[in-house]
Amino acid sequence: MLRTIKVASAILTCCAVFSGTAFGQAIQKQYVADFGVAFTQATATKAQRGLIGLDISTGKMITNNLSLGLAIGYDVVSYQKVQGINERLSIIPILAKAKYYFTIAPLMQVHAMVGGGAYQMIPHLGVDPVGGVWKSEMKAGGVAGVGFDYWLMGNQGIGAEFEYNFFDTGAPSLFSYFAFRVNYSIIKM
Amino acid sequence: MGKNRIGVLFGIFVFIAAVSGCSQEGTLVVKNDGASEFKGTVENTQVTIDPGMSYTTSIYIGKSLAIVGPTDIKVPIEGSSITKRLFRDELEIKSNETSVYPIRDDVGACNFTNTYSLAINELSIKRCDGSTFGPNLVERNHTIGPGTTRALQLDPGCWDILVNYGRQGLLDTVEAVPIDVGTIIHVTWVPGYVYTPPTLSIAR
Repeated sequence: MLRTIKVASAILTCCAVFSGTAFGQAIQKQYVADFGVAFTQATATKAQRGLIGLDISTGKMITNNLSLGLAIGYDVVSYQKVQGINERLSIIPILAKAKYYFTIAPLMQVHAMVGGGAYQMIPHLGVDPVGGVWKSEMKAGGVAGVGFDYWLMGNQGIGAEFEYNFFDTGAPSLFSYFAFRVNYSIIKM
Repeated sequence: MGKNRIGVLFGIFVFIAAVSGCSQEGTLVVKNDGASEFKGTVENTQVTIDPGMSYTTSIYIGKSLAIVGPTDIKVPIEGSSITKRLFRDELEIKSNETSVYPIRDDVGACNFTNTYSLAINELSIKRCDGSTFGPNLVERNHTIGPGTTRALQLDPGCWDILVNYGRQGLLDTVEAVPIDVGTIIHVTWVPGYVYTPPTLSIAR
C-alpha cells in the first residue's frame, strides 16, 4: 500500500510541474461527469476471472488541473460458473476522488487519481472465499489510478483509465482489485 | 499529434489489459512416509494414500497482476491413519513451486483379531507397569464378532490388554504387547493367547 501511495504521489508531483490547459478541456469551476464501463479483476487468493464494472463519477474543477468529486460503481471482480451457478464477488465502491489533469496536446490530457472511501462487498461464493471475503460487509479503502482523456467536441470526451483499489478484509494480505475502464465524459458549465 | 500519441496510449492500456489477471498455481505433494494407509482431506478433497505412495495435486492460488496479488496460499491438510494420530495442519504453497508434506507416524498400533467363537464385549488396556485398566475401547452395541478385527492406536511402550468376552462376561488378559512408533502388532486372540514376538528367519 505504501508503494502505491508513493507512486501516486510521484505521478501527481509530475503532473503539477507540467500543468496547463487547452481548448476543449474542463477549466476551473466547471463540472465533469464520467460514465465508465470496465473490466474488473480481483488480485486476491482464490479469485477467478474478473468480469464487468459499471461506474459513474462527477467532479468539480477546483483549479484548471485539479478536480474533486464522488464516484460510485458496481464491480464484479471474480466470476465463475460452477454447475449452472454463477459464483461471483461483487463490490460497490463509494469513493471521493481527486484527479489531477496534465495536458499533453490541445485535445488530450492524461490524469492521475487518488481517492478513498467505502467498499461494500457482496459475495455469492461457493466453498472458497475470495481474498478472505465470505460475507457481506463494508470496509474502508483507497484507490489510485492513471488514465487519459480525449476531448472530441468541446464538452465531450472519451478516455481510458487504469485503477487500483485496495482495502483490508482481515485476511493476511490486503484485498485488491483493478479496473481497466473506458469512459465517456461530459463537461458541464 | 493526434493519432500517434493516442495509439501509443491505447497500446499501453491494451497491454495492461492483456497481462492482467495472471493465474498463480503451485503443486502440493502429500507423501505418506508412514506404515499404514492414510485417510483424510487435502484442501477439502478426500484422499486415501497407501504407505510409501504420494498424492499430487495442483493448487490454485489466485490472480495477480505484475507484483500485485497473491503468490502463496495456505492449504489445510487433515486426517489420520492407524499409526498417525488425527491431525490438522497447514502447508504454504508458493506459486510455481512444488511443496512436499510428509506424513510421518507418531504412534503404533495393535490389530486385534477375534479368532474365538464368542464375541468380545469389551477391550481395555493398561501399561504393563500400571495397576488398573482404562475405559472400554469397544463402542456400546459394537462387539467384536468372531473373525473380525479391531485396530487399537497405542502410544509406544508395553501394554496389557483385558478382554471381556461371551454372554457370561468372561475375562482374559493378553500381556506384554510391545508397541513402537510406526509398528503394527497383530494379535490373533483366543482365550489364553500369549503374545510372542515374530522370529526373524534368514532364507538360505
